[in-house]
Amino acid sequence: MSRFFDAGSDSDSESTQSDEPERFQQPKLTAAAFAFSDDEEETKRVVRSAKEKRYEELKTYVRNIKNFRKNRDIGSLLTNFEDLWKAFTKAQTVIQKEESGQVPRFYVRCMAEGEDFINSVWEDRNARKNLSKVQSKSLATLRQKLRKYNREEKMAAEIAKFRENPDLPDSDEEEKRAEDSDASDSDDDGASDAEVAPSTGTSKEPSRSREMSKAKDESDSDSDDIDWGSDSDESDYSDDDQDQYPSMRDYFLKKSTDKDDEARKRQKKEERERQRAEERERRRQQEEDDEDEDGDWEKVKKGAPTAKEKLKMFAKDDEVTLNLVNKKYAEISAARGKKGNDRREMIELLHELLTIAEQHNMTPGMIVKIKFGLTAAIFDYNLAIRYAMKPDLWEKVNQRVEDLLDQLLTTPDVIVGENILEENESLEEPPYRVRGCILSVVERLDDEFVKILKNCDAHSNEYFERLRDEHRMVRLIDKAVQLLESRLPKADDAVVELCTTPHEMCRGYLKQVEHIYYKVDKRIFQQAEGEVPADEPTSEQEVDRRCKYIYSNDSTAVLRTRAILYHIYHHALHDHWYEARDLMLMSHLQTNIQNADPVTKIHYNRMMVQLGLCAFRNSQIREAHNALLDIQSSPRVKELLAQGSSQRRDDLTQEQEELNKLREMPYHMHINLELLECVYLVSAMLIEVPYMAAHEFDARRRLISKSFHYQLRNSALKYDLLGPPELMREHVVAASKAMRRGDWRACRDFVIDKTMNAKVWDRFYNGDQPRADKVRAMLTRKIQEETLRTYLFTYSNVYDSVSMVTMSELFELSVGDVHSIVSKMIINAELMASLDEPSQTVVMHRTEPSRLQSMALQLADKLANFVENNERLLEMKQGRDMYYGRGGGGRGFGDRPPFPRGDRVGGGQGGYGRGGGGGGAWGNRRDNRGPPRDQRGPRR
Amino acid sequence: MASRSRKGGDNDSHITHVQIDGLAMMKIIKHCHQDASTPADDAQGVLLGLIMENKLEVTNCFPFPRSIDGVDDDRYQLDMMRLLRPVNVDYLSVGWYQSASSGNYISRQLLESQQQYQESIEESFVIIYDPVKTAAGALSLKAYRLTKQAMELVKDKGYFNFDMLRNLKVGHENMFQELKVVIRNSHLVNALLSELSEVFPETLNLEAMDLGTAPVLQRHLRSIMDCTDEMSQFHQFQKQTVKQQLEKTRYQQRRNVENAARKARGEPPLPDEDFNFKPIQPPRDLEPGVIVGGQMAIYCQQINNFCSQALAKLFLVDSLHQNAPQRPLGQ
Repeated sequence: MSRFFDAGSDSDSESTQSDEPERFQQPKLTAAAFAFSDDEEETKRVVRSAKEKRYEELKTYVRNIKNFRKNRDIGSLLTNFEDLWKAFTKAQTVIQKEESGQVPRFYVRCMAEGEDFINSVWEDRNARKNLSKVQSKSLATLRQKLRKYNREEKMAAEIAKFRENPDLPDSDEEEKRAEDSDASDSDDDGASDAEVAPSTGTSKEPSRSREMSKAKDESDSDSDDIDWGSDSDESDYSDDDQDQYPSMRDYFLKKSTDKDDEARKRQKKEERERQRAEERERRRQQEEDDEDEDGDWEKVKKGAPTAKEKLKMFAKDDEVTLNLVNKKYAEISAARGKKGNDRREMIELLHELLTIAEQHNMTPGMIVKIKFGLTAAIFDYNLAIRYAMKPDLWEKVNQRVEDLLDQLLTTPDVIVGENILEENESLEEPPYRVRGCILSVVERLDDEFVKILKNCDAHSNEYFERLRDEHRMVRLIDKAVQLLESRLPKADDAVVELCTTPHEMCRGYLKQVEHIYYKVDKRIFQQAEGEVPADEPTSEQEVDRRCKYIYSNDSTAVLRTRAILYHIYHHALHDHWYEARDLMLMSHLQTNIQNADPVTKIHYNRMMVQLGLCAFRNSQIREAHNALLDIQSSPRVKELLAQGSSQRRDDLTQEQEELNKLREMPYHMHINLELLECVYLVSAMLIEVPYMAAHEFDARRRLISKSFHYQLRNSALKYDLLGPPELMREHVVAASKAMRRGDWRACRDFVIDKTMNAKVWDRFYNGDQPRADKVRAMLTRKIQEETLRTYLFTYSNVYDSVSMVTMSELFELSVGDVHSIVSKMIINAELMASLDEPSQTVVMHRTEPSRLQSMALQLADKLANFVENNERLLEMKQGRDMYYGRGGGGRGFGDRPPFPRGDRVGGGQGGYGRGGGGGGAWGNRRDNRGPPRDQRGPRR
Repeated sequence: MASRSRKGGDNDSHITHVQIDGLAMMKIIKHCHQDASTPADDAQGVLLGLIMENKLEVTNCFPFPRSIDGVDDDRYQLDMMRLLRPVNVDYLSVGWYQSASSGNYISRQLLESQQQYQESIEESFVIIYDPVKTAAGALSLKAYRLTKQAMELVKDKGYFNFDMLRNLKVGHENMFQELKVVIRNSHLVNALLSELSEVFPETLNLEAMDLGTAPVLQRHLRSIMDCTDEMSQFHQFQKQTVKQQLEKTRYQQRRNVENAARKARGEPPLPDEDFNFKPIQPPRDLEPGVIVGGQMAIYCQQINNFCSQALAKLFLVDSLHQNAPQRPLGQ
């Protein structure tokens, strides 16, 4: 046994490998040895005790685990661990009996090492990132399970014991073995299993040693120095083997001859004990050595940035000059980004440098430069971009930046610019030129701010706390913009390149707009109502001014697109529907948004949604529907608006997920999704239900809104018995059904009731009740109108004539309104009727096709299609080459639409009544949609 | 199944008509009406009878049970026939019956089972009973058997393919041979009936005068429409096939040209067979040509019949209206 460990520590000193992996190998060897011993002893041993069987099973698993750990096959590792636990519970009885409940050491070892391994994998973020989804999942599970298992009282104790001295595992076993043999000795009848136990023990030895040397090789090949390392090991082994031999022979002797000689055995045991003690001693020493080495290592590591001492020295004996400070600064900042650089220290150094510089009244140029460096260093402190900064750190930077900005504002002779090269900097005399971009610093700070917000729970107080900092952020941006504005090129300025470029200005403005655009400014509404004087500046003017500057001065499309999106959003938020729509249409965003980057797309989606909501509030139902259609017809609304992911998606890699996370909007900018869906569904209802009523018998009815139909169908399928609606969707479905019946009151009550108010309608205008009431009133009115239309469509075949007065009473609309609605329907040829003015009635013309008639029409339509297709097929078969590319001519199909697209009954008429002089009285009115008959190619 | 060796008269015209006993017919009707409560599938049963020269006599029948678990249909049939034998009922199966409302009976199953019947019993036939029509006042019983071509077609179970259709010259019009159905009552029954007619005076049967045409027509139209849709699918398939064929020939031509060029250059020609056109999956039922077509033909025929009857009825009613004394409205 000792050989192995000696060798192990040897290799440690040789290579930089820690002894960790060696330890991992250890139990595997025992397991393998077991297997080997089996082979060897096959002839001798016939009976295998229950214990052995169990142990063997356990060891197989342990060995597997070992292997998988090597391969980092987490998935198999998990299953193996589970199997192992199962096997162990099975073996429990045996253990109880044979070893008085002492958990076998190798098992404990396996558990402990498993935990170590899992922890190490867990810690190693980079590696973890590379794991596949399944793997990382099982890693998490395994970690949890293993932890739980190892925390169990008994196990915890065992593991603690094990951890105390993890390196004497087999001694434990040997002890056990000794005990076993003792037991067998005291058992005078010499039970077979007792006999077997020592025999396996002894036979284990040589095979194990062989195994070990093999494993040693393996482990060495893991480390870099294969050749000589293994060689030396080999020699070690041979030596050790020789050393060991006597004892080994003793074993055999004991087994074969003096089985009952207790004295000898005791002696042997003592001898072994002694050996073990020695071994332990040696190992301990070795460990100590290792530790020492480790310590050395760390020292070396730490030794890399040694600027600290130097800096202090510099402060003492030298007179501090500008040049020196500059040099120092360069020195410090040279370490930036280098490996092994202590970032915290760097911040401190710079801080110190700054105080020194201030103490010695350095030029503002120098100070500004150091401040830039300092902020950059603080930003650098957090390496991983996707993790948020710590809030206190942010606070610090915030102060720094504000400080810097203040200084820049008060000392106009310091010029800061990205385009100033390091060698062109002038720090000694005004005008100072310093390299650096205040804008990027502010932008970075803003990004960090957003990240911090996203990092905290949106419903916690912490979020509010953080959100409170926003005004500081805004102030900072304002200052930065002020600075930029103050340095705008003037007409007489000589050095234009040192002034603010329009691009920078645009960026600055955009940052400002970013913080304004999603906020509702009540003054705008009040202004519209005349409560606030029209000349009071509102956020609208601010956004307007900045966006317009960007429109005219931006040379990159990206900023302009963003500006437009924010601008529209802002308009839409404040119910400026027409402005928003015009801006939207003029910008032609829809055409090229496909090519934009994801973040812009997200903003586009947000804008679209806001536009839809605005249209809805302005009773432009159809527009609202169209705006929301694209977003709502996708199942991934949340992703589209970057408001979290709707469900766990396994097809995304971890990186993509991270990226999505990164793009997410902070919570206070979210758009309420339920409100969105409700608005969409209600608009769909207002459009779709009359449409459905009008086209009840159409063969190919167009679906205006798929998701609305889906909801309708869903409710019909899902429940046999419909209770009162509870969810928002159920409310809308119930309302739609009421509307189809023509019961506008029920419809209204479903759409606008307490739950719906709480869930949806009160959320308009941030809960501004009077305005939300206006929306409700609008909605009621729309419901009345559309229900009236639905009613007329559905029941017109029952009436000969309807009094408009009655209708106005039924629907609580004024007679004038009814008149206008009916007129519109008549003009649009939706309703075949005429108005009788004197009696104020609508006289129906019986031109609705009956059910049978409409079916016959449908059939005719279908058959016409069929015939046409058949003809075409025939054509294809006969004149193959002529089929394509033959235009015009008497029999050309090219000028025909591929199908007589009669999505209404009347449309099909065109195909059916060919040359028949029109398609009957009922078909006439609907011909407006179908393809005009005479435009089609002549038939043969 | 009771199969008999028949003297070799396998021409179609051997049987000219079917004679069905009043009792058997009543049993069929009863069974079908009872089963009408479950419209899921049609009521079916076995016809028993004997063959007399050129007519088939159906003297009795029994229904198939609704398939209950653990009851073997064939076994049930045999048992039933064995049990009927001692009570002096004709025990020879001559065919089977099926109920089918408004004519939608032509299906693959029908073809296959009839083919099986005809395979084992040369003369067997199927009676189609239409409960809906009967309820409207006109008893509808139709007897069919498959023609020789149709037998050929169905024989090998697989999908019909076009070559088969072409070679056998099968269309929907010559799939079935309709047999005349004669209903015959024994003298005893006739005597009973005439006696009964004295006890129960004949009531006026007005069901046949039903003027409600729309629902029937609608139903038929809907069925035809479904058939048309099916046909369209078939059409789609045809179109794709033709297109692929076209592509294939083009490819082949190109290949030929290329090969000619290669030959001219003295290179070995390219292998011929690596077309990577996978055959287009034919629609699940490739029967539209025959089965759906036949079905549609039947629908059309039925609509025609129905319309002519309905028109006649309407004219009748019209003339009745004209002859009726004019009454002022509102009374």
